[in-house]
Order: sequence, then structure tokens, then C-alpha cells
Amino acid sequence: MKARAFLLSMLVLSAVPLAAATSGAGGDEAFRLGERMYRQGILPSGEPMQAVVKGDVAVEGTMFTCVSCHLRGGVGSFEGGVVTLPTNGRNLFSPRHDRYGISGEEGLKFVLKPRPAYTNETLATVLRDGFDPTEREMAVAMPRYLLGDSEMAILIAYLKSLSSEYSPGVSDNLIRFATVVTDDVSREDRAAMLAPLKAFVGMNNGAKRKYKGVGGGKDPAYRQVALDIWEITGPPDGWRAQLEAYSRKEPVFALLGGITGGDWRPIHDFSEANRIPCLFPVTDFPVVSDNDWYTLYFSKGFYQEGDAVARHLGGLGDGASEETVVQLFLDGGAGKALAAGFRDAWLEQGRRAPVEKMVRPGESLTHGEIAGLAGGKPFTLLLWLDDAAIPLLERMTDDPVRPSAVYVSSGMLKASLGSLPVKVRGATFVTWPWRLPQVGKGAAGAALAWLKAARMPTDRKRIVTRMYALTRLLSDAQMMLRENFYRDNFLDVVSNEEDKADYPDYERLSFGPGQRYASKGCYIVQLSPDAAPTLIPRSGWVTH
Amino acid sequence: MGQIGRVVALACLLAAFFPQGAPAFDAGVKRSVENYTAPDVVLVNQDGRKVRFKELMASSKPVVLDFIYGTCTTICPVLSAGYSNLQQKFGTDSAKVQLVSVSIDPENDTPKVMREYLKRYRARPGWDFLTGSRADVDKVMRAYSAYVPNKMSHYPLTLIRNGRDGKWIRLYGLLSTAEFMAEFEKASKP
Repeated sequence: MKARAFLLSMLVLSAVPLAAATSGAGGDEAFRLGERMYRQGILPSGEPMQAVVKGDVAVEGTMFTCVSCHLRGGVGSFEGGVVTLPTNGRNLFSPRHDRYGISGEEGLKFVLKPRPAYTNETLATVLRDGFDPTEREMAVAMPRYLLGDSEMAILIAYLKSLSSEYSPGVSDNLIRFATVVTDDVSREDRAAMLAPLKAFVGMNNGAKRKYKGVGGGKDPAYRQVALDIWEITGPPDGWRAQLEAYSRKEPVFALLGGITGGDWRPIHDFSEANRIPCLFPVTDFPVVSDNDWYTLYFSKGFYQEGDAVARHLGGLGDGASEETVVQLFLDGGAGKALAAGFRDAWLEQGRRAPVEKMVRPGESLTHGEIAGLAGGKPFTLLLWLDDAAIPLLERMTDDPVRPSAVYVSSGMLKASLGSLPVKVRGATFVTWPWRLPQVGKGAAGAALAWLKAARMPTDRKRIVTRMYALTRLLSDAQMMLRENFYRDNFLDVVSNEEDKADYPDYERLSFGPGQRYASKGCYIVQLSPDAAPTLIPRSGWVTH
Repeated sequence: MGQIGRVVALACLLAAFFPQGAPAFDAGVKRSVENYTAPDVVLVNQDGRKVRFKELMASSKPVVLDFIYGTCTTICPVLSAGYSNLQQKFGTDSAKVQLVSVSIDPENDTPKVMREYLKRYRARPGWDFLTGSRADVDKVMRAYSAYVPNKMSHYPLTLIRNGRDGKWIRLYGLLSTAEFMAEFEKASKP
């Protein structure tokens, strides 16, 4: 208790009554300050909140934010054997009539007893001293916060507003989703994206889950699912207005999947601005961000392939990582994303910037020009081109001044990858951001069998299989979501899902609060010299 | 929702994370003394430098080991606050104790993520956060009887190497600073 006494003595406690304490800050400003306390552990003064854990472990709010355990939606979490209770407005300020309990190895290990609704005063007590209105003490992992009255009032006001009403798109019997399709997508790809989602809706709406197993009454968490298709047309700068119009006309709880041939940015920005979750769209051009919240992607797309090459090359340690690196990249989304992924990860390692040249479609470079970019020194070539890379590579092998190694992108080469000339395969390394065909083939067997039995359309672009993965994740999320239909909580729930290792496209999808790219690495492979080449892994799953 | 519904709902929630039943940690800390052999794997620290794990564990300094990850919600912050407080107690001598945190979410815990995590806990020299391939991290977890197939089902574990005989004190549960210091001092007595 010494730490607590010391920290308390350092606090200047205000005598401002709770009800009057926020009067100095307007509603929006008070909300912002409360949100900052909850999410970042920063007091209105700008100083970190102070707290004590386990009786004497002094912590700062920035180490131990409310959001880190209770999560963004405030509905709480269960991790590492610690149950974190809900702190959202609807839960805190309603009485709990029932007992919750779970059994552990030695009998009942965790019990929540009925309690009255919190008041401002009892909530301040539990936050400061750890005792609820029935005098029951909170778990040891719950920090006891050292807050003055005005700070406490701001935090309580925020908690009152947190997940206090269901998000738009939810009614007593329906939860409405939408999926976005842009007009550059082929009919086949559109059908491939929609098929698993429609199957999910059909299964949900005919599900036995609408009735509880015990007693046979209707499950209050059950909702029918509606899936709207938001058809978006024209150039990207007009997408935002169309999305806003759809949203105004019929609000949705979240966006599921979706597909575009181009950059996902306009849809990402719409989700971010309107705080609408968007789960796992089919795109090679996700927005790469450390801070954005509302869109979850399968991966960082082409950017991730470039990133993996930088990490692979940097870890070789045989002199290769010291060579000059030349990046030739096609003027377009894929080439630029690959180049950016490499550049960012390469510079992060403290290395010399790569020599870069953007190539226009149809433009060809001579070997002399490429070697000249490296200043005549030994070099590694990153060839972020489409099938134009093939003839360039073929000619290069006959040149005395050729690169030590060449890296190409399987995503850019697509079907041309198989036509990589045998004579260049020994010096050509290929990015492969998918499950290796020969590794863990059986793991995805059940998924593939289901897809076959369900007569899902076949496609080479992994659209059906990725949307299948989304529907599986969604089914799990529905079970965890229960009646807590708050958009932020929906993302919290998905973020706390267990790793998935039995989906067709990825050896592992992993999640976590704030993690927004579920598949996080890439293989570096070479092609065998066979007529029907197999992939030979030249790296493990490269993540760092 | 009726009582049964609520319990079923919570049980569903918990079963998803803890298929074999949930432990609870308010009951206190379980202590045992164990022999462990460090696997010979190369991991990567927060600065992107390769670290031979076996050599680090054989350090002449007192060694403390835990298993955490950068986006962990609940118990890692408590464990890391414990490390932070221990370093503060040692002040400028913090590097005389080797604190090691091994990531159980190696795909996400890149050096950049680990650096930011350590910064949040005001880590000083002497605290290394290590990541690596999943296979190598699994080897480390198994070597210290700390293997979990999924990071969401991990548990609070602190291991302190006894300076006299190389044995490890295994502490299962969340420690107060006083408990942590007492165990550490016992283990590091000559």
C-alpha cells in the first residue's frame, strides 16, 4: 500500500462535486477528454493517469489503459484467465439480477453476483478502491485509479455514453449488413464474392440457433441477417458520395467482404469516418496504417510482399544484404505498393535506400541501363513488373553483367509465373503470400470439402475461399457478440478470435486488439525446373 | 436473458478461449522449483538484432523470463508493470538483471511493435523482448512448460533463475511488487 499512499499524496484532489465537475468543459470537449482517459490513459491535464495494481504495483495509465482490458466497445474481455467486466453505459447503469459462474479445476472459480445499478458515487468508489456496490472486491488485475473528482466525473460521463445504445442497423429481430461491389469487377468475380456471403445469410436465417437448447425459448441474441449489395459506379472520387447515400437510406451494422479491382482507400475512409466496421474485403490494395480502426484486412496485399523481401534479404547475412538494391516497378498500384513495402522495411533496418526506377507500361529497359542504375557494382534486382518481367529475365541471363539475385512478385506475374524460363529459375526468387500447396494440405480439407459440397463457384483468385473464411469468422463472432450489438464491440470480438489455421488460403490468420491484418507474412520461394513447376520454399514464413 | 441463458452465454464465451477450463488467479501464486534446458534457437530482439537464446539464458546475471505479446489485453500489462517496477528498484543498475520477455504472438510482434511496447513500460537496458519464427518460439515455450497453442489461452507465468544452482523458480499467477522482489532476492542470493 506504500505506493498507493505515495501516489495519493502526490495528487491534488479537487473538491468539485461530481455533478458539477464537467461544467467547465463543453459536451463534445468533455467527451473527448473522457475518451482520451479511457483509451490513452491521459488525464485532462495531459498527464498520465496513475493507478495501483495488485496492492502495490504502481502503474501509469498509459501502461494500463481502460481500453486495454475492457476494450473499445467497453463490453470487456476474457483473456489469460482474467475476466474483465463490462464498463459500457448500458451494463454499468443497469442492475445485474442474475449470477454468472464458470467451473474450473477446483470447482466454481468465478462468480458474479447480483448488484444494483451503479451510481456516480458507487462507480467512483469501484474505480478508486475496487469495491462494487455490494462491497465485493474487484479482481487483483483491476487497477485502482487515483483520480480527482473532476477527472472522475469526466471519465464517468464517458462511460455512461459508451455503448449505451445499439448501433444503427440492428432491430429487435434483424441485423443488417452490406457488401460493396464496384463496377470494374467482372460478373464471375462478383458472383464468387457473393456466394459464400449468401450461403451464410441462408444458414443464419434458417438456423436452429434461433431457439435455445435449454427450455426451447427464443434466443434473445438471435437476429435474422439482411445483406444489402451496395453497387458503386464510376471513378473512385465519386464513391464516397454513393456510399454515404446508401448508408443514409438504409443504415447497416457493418460491411462484410466486398470487392474492387482498385484501391480500397475510398471505402476504407468511408468506414473510418462513419465508424462502420468493414470485415475482410477482397483487395490487393488495402490501406496500410498503424492507427486506423474500422477495416480488417486479410493482409497488407502487395505491400506485404515487398516488406517480406526486405526482411528476407536483410536477414541473409551472407553479404547479399550489403549489395546495392535496384527496384524497377511498374507505374501502377501493384508496382508502387511492392516498392513502398520494400522501401519502408529496408529503411527501418537502417540500410541504404534502394535505387528505384518506375517503368511505364510498355517501356523496356536495356541490361546496360539496369546495371547502370547500380553504378556498375554487384546488385540485387527487384523486378516489380507484370508478365513483361519474363522476356527481360530471359535476356538478362545471357548478359555478363547480371544481378546476383532477382525477386519477382507472384501476385503481379499471376499465371505468367508458371512460364518463368527454366534457365532463370535458379537465380529468381518469388514472393508467395499464401499457404504453400505442399504444407499442411490436410488442414484445410474440411473447408474445401464444404465448399465442394455447397457447390460454390470455382475461381483462381481465391475469392470464394477468402469469403468462406470471412463467414467462418463471422459465425464465431456472432456467438461471442450475444446481444452486445455495438459496432466497436463487434470489432473487439473479431479481434479476440483465436488464431485460425484451417482455412484454404492461409496457414494462419491471427488477431488481436488493434491488429488489422490477419495474415502477416510471406514466403520466398523458387520454382522447380519441372514442366509443371512446384514451389520450393527458400525461407520460412517471413514476418521480421 | 434468464439465468441459464446468461450462464450459457458466458460459458460459450469462456469455452471459446479456454476449451480446457479457465484458471483464475485471485487465489494466489503457485510456486514450484523446476529444471529447464534452454533450446538453441536464434530469436530477434526489439532492435532487430539476432539473439542466441541459449546464451542469453546462460547469462552470469540473474535472469527473469516471461511470455507476453504486444497487443495482450489483460495479464501482460500486469507482468510488464512488474518488470518495470523491478527495473525502477534497481535504478541505474537495471542492466545487472537480465529481464526477458518472449513473444507468444511472433507474427505480429515485429521489432518495431516490441520497441513501442517497451517504451510504454519505460524499459531500461537489461529488458529484452524477443520474437522469432513460430517454430522457434514454440520450442522456447515447450522448454519452459509454458506452451499454449493459442495466445488467447495463455496464463501469467514468471520464471526466475536461481543464481546458485541454475534451477528455476516457477511462479504461476500475478505477483505484487513485494512478492516479486522477495522471490527475486531469494533466487539471486549468492
